[in-house]
Amino acid sequence: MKANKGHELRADVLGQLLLMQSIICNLPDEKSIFSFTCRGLIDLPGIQTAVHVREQKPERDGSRLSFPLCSGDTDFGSLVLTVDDYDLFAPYKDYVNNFCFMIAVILEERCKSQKNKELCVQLEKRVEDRSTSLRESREQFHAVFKSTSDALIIADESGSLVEANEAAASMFGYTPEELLGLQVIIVANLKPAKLMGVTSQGMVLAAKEVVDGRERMVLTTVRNSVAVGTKVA
Amino acid sequence: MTDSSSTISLGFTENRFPAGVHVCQIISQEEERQESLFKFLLAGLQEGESTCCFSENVDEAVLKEFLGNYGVSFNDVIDSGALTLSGTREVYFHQHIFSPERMLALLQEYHLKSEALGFPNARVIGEMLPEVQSIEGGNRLLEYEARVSLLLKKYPVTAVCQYDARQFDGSTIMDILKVHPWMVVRGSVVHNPFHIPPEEFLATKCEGTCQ
Repeated sequence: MKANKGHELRADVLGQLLLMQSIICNLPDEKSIFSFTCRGLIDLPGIQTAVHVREQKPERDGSRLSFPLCSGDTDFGSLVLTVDDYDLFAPYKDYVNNFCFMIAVILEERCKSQKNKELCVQLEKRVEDRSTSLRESREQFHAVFKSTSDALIIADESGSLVEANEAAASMFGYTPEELLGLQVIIVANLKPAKLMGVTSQGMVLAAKEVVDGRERMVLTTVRNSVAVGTKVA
Repeated sequence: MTDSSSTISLGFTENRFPAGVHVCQIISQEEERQESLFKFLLAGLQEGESTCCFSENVDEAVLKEFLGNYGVSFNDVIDSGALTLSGTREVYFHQHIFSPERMLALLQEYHLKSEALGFPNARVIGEMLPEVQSIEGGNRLLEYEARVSLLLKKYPVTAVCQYDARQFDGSTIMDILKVHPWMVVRGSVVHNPFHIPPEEFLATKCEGTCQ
């Protein structure tokens, strides 16, 4: 390979830049990356020293060449190389520029990846907090649900009973377990009426029978599942 | 023992290499370190080589299970002397001193012993500990690695040196690369363009520390 001003472009130097790029991906942090890079760059033809600085520097300042480490909007400062033989280094200048850009890309990707990790941790924490809060809320609800003297039943979307408290079971003459899974008929569009101080617009259909001289309710259920909202004919 | 023109498998890459290659592996994850180490040992044992490992982090039960999955009996290879496991500190930092001369003598002896026992080749994988940077003699680490490269030309023990990038400074990693002719990059073993031939390195780069 021939470079400008008659200097040979050495393949091993280019290979060195490429491999440095690969190894950088394995290094743990910015400090390690720049210390590795600066040590490697001083082996380039014509280079005397290499340092990483936080700020942007003029492209050329005497014997110093500055290479920006920018990717998108992210600025990681610049690499400043002290050149003792510019003609010797000149063929590699563009390659070093690209190399610095790639370092910036790698660092930017790491920042994004780190931010994503932090976001994931935050999200996991929020989910955990919400789950805890939901669990506590459910526990409180269940404590009230179980202990209240009001008969309470909960039906799922298909109209099947999924929960019933002791008061409901006692009122209907079932155990709470016997009530679970029953698809009962709830009439939900009655004229509002006050029952025991509470406004009610609905009722669960049940038959009242007398067994051994005692009244008990037998809930009306359907043999086949019917859609919620079906009118009682 | 077969001559140095015979090729061997390193286990963690498909390519084959001449016996006696000196490889540097820069690792950044524990899983990566263990996977390469186990595969390197397995490949050696499968090829009937004398196989040795210097590490503080080998769980024998896990290694036993790993080798067992490939039909290699851990107990058999230990009993036959095909596999030797030692702690890094015990070997490298004997009496709290890092002595290149002692280590080189050990390597030479290991090769000669393996040869005498009829093994076709010998291999070693070693994990360097960060305390080498502070221990007496630790400033001769690069000299040692360069001299290993020289020694392996005469006594071709296949050697893989593992360095943890999280425990060594970046510039030290670069210096370490310069004294290894081969390096592992993302699972592939490649010729190291940073490598300085040991003769040149010992003559010019380690003035003041070389003995």
